[in-house]
Amino acid sequence: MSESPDGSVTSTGQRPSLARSVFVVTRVTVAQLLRKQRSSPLLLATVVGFNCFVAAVLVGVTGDGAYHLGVALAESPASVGERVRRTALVAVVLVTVMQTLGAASDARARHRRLAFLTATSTAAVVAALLVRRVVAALVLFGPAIVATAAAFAVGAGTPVSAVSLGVGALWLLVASAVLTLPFGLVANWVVAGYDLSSNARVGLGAVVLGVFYLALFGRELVAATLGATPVAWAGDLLLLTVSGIGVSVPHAVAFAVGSVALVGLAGLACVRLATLTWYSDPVFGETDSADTDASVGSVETARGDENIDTGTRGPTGGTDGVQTAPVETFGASLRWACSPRTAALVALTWRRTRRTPKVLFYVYPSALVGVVMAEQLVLHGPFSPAMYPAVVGFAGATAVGSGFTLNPLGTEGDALPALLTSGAGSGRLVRAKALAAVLPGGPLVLGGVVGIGTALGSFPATVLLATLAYALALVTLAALCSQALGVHYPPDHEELLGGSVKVPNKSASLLYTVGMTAVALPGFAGIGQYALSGTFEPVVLFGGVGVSVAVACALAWLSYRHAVTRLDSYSVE
Amino acid sequence: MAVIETSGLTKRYGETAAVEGLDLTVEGGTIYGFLGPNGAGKTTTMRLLTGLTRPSEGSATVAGVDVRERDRLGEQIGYAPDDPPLYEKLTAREQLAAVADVRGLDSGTKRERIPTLLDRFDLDVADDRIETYSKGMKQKTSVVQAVLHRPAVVFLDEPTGGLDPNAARTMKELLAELRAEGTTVFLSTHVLPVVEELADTVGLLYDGQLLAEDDPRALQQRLAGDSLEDAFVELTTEGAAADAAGRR
Repeated sequence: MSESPDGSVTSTGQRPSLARSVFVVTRVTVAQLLRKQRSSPLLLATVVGFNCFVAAVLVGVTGDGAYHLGVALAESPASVGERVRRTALVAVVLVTVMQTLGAASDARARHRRLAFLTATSTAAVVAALLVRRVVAALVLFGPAIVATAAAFAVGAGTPVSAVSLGVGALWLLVASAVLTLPFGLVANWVVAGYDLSSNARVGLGAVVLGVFYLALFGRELVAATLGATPVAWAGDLLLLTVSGIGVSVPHAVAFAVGSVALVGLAGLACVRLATLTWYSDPVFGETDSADTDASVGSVETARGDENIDTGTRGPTGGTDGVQTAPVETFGASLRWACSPRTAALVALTWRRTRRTPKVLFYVYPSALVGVVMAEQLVLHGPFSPAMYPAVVGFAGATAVGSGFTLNPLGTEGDALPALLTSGAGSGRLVRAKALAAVLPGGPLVLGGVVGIGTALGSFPATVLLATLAYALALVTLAALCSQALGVHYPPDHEELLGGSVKVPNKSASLLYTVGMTAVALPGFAGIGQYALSGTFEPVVLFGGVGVSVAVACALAWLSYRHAVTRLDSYSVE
Repeated sequence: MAVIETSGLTKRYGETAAVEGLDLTVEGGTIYGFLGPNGAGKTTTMRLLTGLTRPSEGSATVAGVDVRERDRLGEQIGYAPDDPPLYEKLTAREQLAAVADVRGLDSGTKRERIPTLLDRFDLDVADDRIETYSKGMKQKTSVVQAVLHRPAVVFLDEPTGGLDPNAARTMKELLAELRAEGTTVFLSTHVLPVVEELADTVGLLYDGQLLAEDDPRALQQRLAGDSLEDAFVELTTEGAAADAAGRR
């Protein structure tokens, strides 16, 4: 800004070109991404570890891999070519599914992007977002891809073969990152632009997870289907510099040109979709329509279902308006389980969770783990259906502790100072959180165990009782150990789900999952022995379950004490 | 009788001292105006006195309770921070009822106080969800929440921020009434006329240290200023602040 001769203030800044804007925004977003990685040793270790793991698998350190394919190339070029094509298609399916899920999260108009949107064009912000996605994908998979191509070339003894494999695979990664972003934007358009109810959102989430699951386990089938389409030409691109393998150069060129064109079109579509999505009222209004029962701003003090008398107020604030009943009603029904003040906290948690069901987001992955376990262990695995109740017990218990108790301070949001200065006491807060999770979650899990065990028909009562005790102990542990871990992490560590919902810290989630698995393993082994052999061996069954139950109970008590002590000394910084 | 007493109260974040060697004495039933430029350490002091932040050194008691005993302290105090501590998904009425329950207020008291205070602040949107409120409406709800249980000491951080003139006047009346009822009000604000009008004592914090503490009028006279604003500016200019710190 400068002052003109007539005294008026004018802007002297020239509007930067699109390329310049893209460069600036991209530099900031990528720098943020990389700094975030560098500043978190755990995240950095995870990325490096993930790369090493993927590279080890793909190169062939843990079994047949790229190196062995290279060695086999000299003997049977045709079969190697076919395997590379098939593997490439499977990889395309997996990467596309992963990128699609990531795109749904990436495409949200979050604050930092909104900040850019007030300073530059939508196209520049979208371009930066695409580059950020590409960089993230390259950081996660790039080194493993390069190592794989190099291993193939070493095995084959032809260094030039690494060129098309490496460059082609990296291009597939880049293309999938770009091509899937429109899906993310559409998903957000549907979610943010339409007044979806919370149930519809949960349904949508379940459908997406279901599709992910199907794609994951049906990847061979999907790849085979894609084999008859031009997508299969990706194999020709990957094998372009491998000699003697019958590569169709026109197909390779057609795939490269076609994918470049599609990437360009996807970029344009992203700009258009971003314009539709990011400027919609729900995005700027920050009012989460799905969580508000479509009645934000209306007089809806939980009447109906809670039978509230909204009363009337006199001119001087008369006392005939009895609107304090909602919490009392809930609290009264809980007094068999706890004190009135604890009941008030439980009721408060339930009321808020009912209005913000996405706070339970982390419950779904645990439930999905249960489905995957059932599929892998029983449906396509060596165990008999007698394993199902134990799977329900373990996955259900893990899900119980994955909601608001895994981030006990974060779920309080801005109200945390009020809660901490209320004199309620740390013990009461921890007990209330645990009860809020266990009272609805416990009966569901135990009911599932009993229901499935009974439905199996030939399930012995002793095994069922042991499984029930196992599930009960794990549910109790889940609600308390999640808090013991969760209170160690900043309450506002991340904001992924928007609004007042703070997701648990990734480290807390990881430790919680590992801890629950470790405690559950002996019992799982004991019940698994029965499910595997069909013979009831009391020592193995009760020994395994007994160890799990004893450890779970002891850890639950220690977790409670630890969470209370930690909360006592918690300092808002 | 002193209700708030601190001795050498210090809070450090690494090498940086947010509050250093703070010695305060606030008499019961008074309004203490806590002033200071941005970043002076006012909010940290409030958090220390409400038990939300642990002191690095020194001691402090509020209503006879050590600030390290957060649970007992909570029974004596009400706190309305700058960021209203409210559950966005609740309505104001539900929020107040829930906090009253958590504090263990009986039904009769709740039914008497909640509607009265809501009416007083013209919170006619008390049955709408808090997420739909303006900053001012949230501020009002937060203050009502802080005084609902009639605590011995109320800590208010910028309570008039975002309020329209009518609500600001109501707030001032409420503060005066609280004082008349024997409640001690610890008030942090940048709105100097409010302090000038209401405060019995003014404390000026600069760079984590108490530069001056006096009756507002005495402070003006001492610094030969026309208003508290002049005194504030004079004391918080860098050189003057250094001199004052040196004198202390």
